[in-house]
Amino acid sequence: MHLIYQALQQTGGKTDADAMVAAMKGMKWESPRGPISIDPRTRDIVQNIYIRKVEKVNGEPWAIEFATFEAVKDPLRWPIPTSRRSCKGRVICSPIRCSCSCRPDRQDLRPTVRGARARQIGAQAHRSRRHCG
Amino acid sequence: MDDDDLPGTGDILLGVVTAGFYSAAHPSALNREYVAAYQKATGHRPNFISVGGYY
Repeated sequence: MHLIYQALQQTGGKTDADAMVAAMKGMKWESPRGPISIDPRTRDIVQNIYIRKVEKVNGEPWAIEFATFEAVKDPLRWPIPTSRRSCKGRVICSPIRCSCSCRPDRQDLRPTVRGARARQIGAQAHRSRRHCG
Repeated sequence: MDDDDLPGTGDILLGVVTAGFYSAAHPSALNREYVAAYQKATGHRPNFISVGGYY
C-alpha cells in the first residue's frame, strides 16, 4: 500500500503501468519491519532477515530478534544464465553466487529460473569447478 | 509462528528460534507505533502478512 501510494505521488497520479513500475524501481523506505527497498533490476523486495528467539516479555511470548542478515535479495530471482555460451564463456557456481549479465539491456525482463531447474543449473555448474565473480 | 497466534501458545514455544522479515517485537519507534495502532484497531498483534501488505 505504501509503495503504491508513494509511486502515485511520484507519477503525479498517473496510473499507467510503465510509469508506476519506473517510479517503484529503487524506492527505499523505513517499514515497521526495518529498512526496505525495491531492487531496480529484479523489481523484487530487498529486506533484512532477522533471526528471532521466542521469549517471554511482560508475561507474553514474543519473537525477539537477536541477529540480522541485512538487505537480503531472493537469490532465485537473480538472473541465471542458461548456458555457458550465453554467459561469455563463464560458468556459474551456484544460482546464489552468480551475478553474470548476459543481456544487460533486457536484464529486468528476463525470465527467472526457480525450483528444480535452478538447482539443476547450480549443480551442473558446480561440478565444472569453474567459478565466476 | 504468526505474531497474532503467539500469545495463545503459552510456554510451549519459549526458546524456539525462527527466521523471518518481521517480528512485532522489532525494536524501532515506527514499529511500536504500528503495533499500537494495529492492536487498537483489531485487538491482536500485527503479523508479517499485515506489514507486508500495508507498509
